[in-house]
Amino acid sequence: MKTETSCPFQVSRSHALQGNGYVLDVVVSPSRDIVATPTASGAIHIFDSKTLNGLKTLNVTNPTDRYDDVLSQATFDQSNPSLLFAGTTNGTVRVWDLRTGNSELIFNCGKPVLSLAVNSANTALAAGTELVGEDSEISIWDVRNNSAPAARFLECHSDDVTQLRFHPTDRNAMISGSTDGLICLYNLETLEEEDALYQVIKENSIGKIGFFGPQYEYIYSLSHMETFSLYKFLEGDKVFTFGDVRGEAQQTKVDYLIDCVYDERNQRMFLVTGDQTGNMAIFHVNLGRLELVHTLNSGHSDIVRGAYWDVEYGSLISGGEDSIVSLWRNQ
Amino acid sequence: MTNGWMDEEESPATFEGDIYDQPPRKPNCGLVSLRKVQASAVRASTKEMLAFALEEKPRKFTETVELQIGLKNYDPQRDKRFSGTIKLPNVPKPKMKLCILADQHHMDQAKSIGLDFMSVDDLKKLNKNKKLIKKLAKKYDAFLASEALIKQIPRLLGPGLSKAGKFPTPVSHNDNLEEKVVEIKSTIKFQLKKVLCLGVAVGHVQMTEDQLVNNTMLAINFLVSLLKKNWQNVKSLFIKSSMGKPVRLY
Repeated sequence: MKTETSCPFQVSRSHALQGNGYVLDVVVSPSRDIVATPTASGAIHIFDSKTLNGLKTLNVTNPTDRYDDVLSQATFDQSNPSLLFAGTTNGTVRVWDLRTGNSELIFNCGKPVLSLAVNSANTALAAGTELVGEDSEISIWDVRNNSAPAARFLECHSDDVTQLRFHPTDRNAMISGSTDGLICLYNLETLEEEDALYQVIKENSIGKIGFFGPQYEYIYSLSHMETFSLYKFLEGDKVFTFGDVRGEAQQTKVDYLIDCVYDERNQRMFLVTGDQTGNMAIFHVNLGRLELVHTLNSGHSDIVRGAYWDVEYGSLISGGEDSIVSLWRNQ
Repeated sequence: MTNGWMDEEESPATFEGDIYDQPPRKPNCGLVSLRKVQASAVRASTKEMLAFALEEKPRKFTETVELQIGLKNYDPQRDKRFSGTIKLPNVPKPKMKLCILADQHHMDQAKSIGLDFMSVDDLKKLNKNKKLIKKLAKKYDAFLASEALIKQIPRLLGPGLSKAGKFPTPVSHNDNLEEKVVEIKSTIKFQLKKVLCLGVAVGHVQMTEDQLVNNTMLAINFLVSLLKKNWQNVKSLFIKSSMGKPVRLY
């Protein structure tokens, strides 16, 4: 074990967000120098990822419509770090310019947007929706053309589409996850739904999915049942399933899974978990075994919803339902 | 963070958006594990429900027994909405109709245990016809598929089974097919949607009291463990038979 991971994490700075800023996630820009924390109040707070200096606050939802317009997810533009895509339940994805604080472009998806992703080439935007009537939808857009989606997938899922991810290097490779318990794998060289969908993985209700590995050839999946599984991306083969992680960990209390962090330099995979008092733990993911490497205590007083760990720089930013965003250091 | 917090017991659990006006809550973990429903309470309610369904007002069909969980301090607009499955100790849905999309090995096994099956050739005959696939999906409650075959399903059938919410469960040659069938029949689905209530079918009135109590206890403990604040999110628990009145047990 390298010394950098055995050095304990300490909170170096914390922000208490104003106006009930129940943090939904911590999202990092492609260059990793800024993070965004979307909150349930509709505000997205932008911070410098090294110092946690506040850079900007965007209010992306309609303040007079707090029931029908709720912020769900946000993601950075892949080439311009000043642009941020945000999806809300009023059925739109807006592109926000961090320099002006205005939204320049609106993609109208027609159904409450729960998930979104932008591909590595920055040419395609995908938005996943809530189930409305018989249909939940994934709409794929050319990022330069907001007049109509390039494709609408209506059949791949039978419930809310909670997660969408593009492969970090392959512009046409996309995965989606839903509360229907399926992960769908697509090759978007064709935009015909039947042909684009090439593999389906039967899972549990999907909380988070993502790519990892030296060539990003694997997928991780965190379910609402707090189960954790790894798959091969191209084939959809199961690599390992850890089952319900709450029962697995003995040295620390795990009430829920937060996210995974892949350390590219050392090619190691980590799982970040939390408990109800806001304490976090980081496990090194070995094949078949979770090894506790860090505990991060007393930074939060409620459920932690997002964490971004820059392993190389030795910093971690977490955000939770206590409206606190914390910067941790272990160097 | 220092200002007071609403008493969890008294704050109204509405979902009209007023929850945003509450100050952030402090954790209250001491209570989490203490307030659990006792097996004796579940047994008493089960007895009462069965007495009504079997003696007082018996029906011509087998009534389903449902567990209903009322939620509080839960905002489906921002807290996780999920669906999921639980495997119960006693089969709650014996009449479920299953079909296996089978390779040769599983076709032979399916024949011997009287399970409906379809071969790759049968699936090819559907010719990706959406109407035929929809019809197939409607004919069965759930599907299984041989592991070797499951990867061909998107190519053979398109997304039709996914759309119907019936994408098959994989079965390997090492699995015992008969056990797998029982497992699927024992597995129930639940959904937490925008309404502050969770309902699951835990059995039927022809089951014994012990079987119902075991199924109910397991379902309660598992579902509550998935709520973000566990018992602090539980407002009420009821069991009821299809035609009977709800019996409160928490």
